Amino acid sequence: MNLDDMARRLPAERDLPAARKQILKEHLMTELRQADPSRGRARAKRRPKPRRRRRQGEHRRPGTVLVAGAVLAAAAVAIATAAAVGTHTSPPAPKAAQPAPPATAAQLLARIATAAARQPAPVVRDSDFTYIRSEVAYEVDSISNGRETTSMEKLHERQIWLPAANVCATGLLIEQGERTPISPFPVVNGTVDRHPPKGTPMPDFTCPSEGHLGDTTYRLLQSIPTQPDALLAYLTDGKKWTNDDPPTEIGDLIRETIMPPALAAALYRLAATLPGATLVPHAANVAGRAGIGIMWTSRTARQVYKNEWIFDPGTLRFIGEKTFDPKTGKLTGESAIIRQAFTAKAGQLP
Amino acid sequence: MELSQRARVRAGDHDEFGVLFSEHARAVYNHAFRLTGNWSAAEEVVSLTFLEAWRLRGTVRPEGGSLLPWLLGIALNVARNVSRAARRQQAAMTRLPKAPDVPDFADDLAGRIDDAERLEKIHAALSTLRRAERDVLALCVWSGLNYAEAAEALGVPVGTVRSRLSRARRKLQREPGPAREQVTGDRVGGAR
Repeated sequence: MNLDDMARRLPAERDLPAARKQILKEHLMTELRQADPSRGRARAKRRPKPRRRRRQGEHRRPGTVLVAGAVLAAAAVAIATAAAVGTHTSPPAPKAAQPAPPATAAQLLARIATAAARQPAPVVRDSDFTYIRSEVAYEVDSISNGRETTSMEKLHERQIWLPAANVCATGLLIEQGERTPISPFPVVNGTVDRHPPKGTPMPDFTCPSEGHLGDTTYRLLQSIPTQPDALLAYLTDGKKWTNDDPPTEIGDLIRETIMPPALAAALYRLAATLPGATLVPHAANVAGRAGIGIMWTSRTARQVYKNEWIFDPGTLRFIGEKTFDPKTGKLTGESAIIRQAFTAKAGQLP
Repeated sequence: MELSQRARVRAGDHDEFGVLFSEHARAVYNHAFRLTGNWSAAEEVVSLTFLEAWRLRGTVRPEGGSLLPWLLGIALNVARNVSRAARRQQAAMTRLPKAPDVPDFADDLAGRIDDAERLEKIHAALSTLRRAERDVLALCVWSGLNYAEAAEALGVPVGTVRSRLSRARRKLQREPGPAREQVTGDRVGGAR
């Protein structure tokens, strides 16, 4: 065969289907805007990968959350108190039985699980929205004269409303002065388009839907099995949606979510059995608030990560997290949960 | 002062990337199909190529002509290891809307399957070539770049492109290849 023959034998060129081409182009442009909101200057660098499969229109904000709160007492002391506070429904434990500070990540996770299980389950209507207000900051990098420099964003507020029972209902994100509808349907110029032109990709599930791993609702979380083997199997099976390993999956589930107590307890118990966790006795966020942390450092076939979950040393509730560059250990993002509640409408404050 | 397209791409001008996409998506798509033999994979390569181009915009040389050779060079690497590029662009790719289950070219499905079969035969004929030789062939013979453009795409001297291509040519001439009549028949059937 000679090369001229070969060239003649090549299939005729084709164009991308027009609708698809438009979608690929819009996707590219959206990614550039998200990576680089100031059109060419600051672009998000190694942000933690999106924790939640983003619905159309939602700006990327994985959400590491930092508590901008008051400074608390030293972690160890506070934990001892915390355990007592947590048991207010049961008879107070005798002083001698008060737990020593946890010695391992597994011990801390077990206590977090116990504290979570004691939380009262909220009453949630299908029409409700989960509201989370957090403070977030991410690493961005700037380009000038072809050179990149990296810096942390200013800490700023992020508010999100996500439907409690049906991901097809339209949620809302308010961040940095922008209001963005959150929907699995295409969002065109800030409006959800439920009947877009033929060829536009639509949600790969039927509505109404309680969602799936990577895009959950409170109702979905309530239906996730809490028995350890079944839970692990559920998370592993969820890879078809998110392609994450269980520690990352759990981190994604607890972030920017109101968690049913039984599932929270089950997730922390499961986390206690997973490798890669170390105890951070004196975790603190950028606001100076003391906490107690679990650092996940792991390398799997699929991902390398270094994330820290931060808990209130008193209530042992999840109050935020930090993400790091796994190679250099440098902080790449942090966030703090400020407020979480259910509201009747998207955009309504609790 | 009016900046050149290269300067604007280097500076990370979003609109210029939009222009780049409009100008070259088709060429990248067809190049990607010829490399992968699969039209859906080619779509993914197109997306990844432009995302990688954004990441690699600092590598654009300030002087020169069309940026198509640069894009085709990136596409070569992407197509060679789609999973690696997809990992690097994982965050972005999770946000890429999935292609519809029923493609809007369903009416043309037979033609596309025929394309893939045709490519498969050509790929089989290239099995004796080294990777570097296949690359120059894909750029120069399939996508029509000249030696200088292929050299830019691959980041090698022009002389290297020339010698790789002539080596590829010699090797292929020793290969028997499919019968000529059959080829002609295919061509007539598949031409549009």
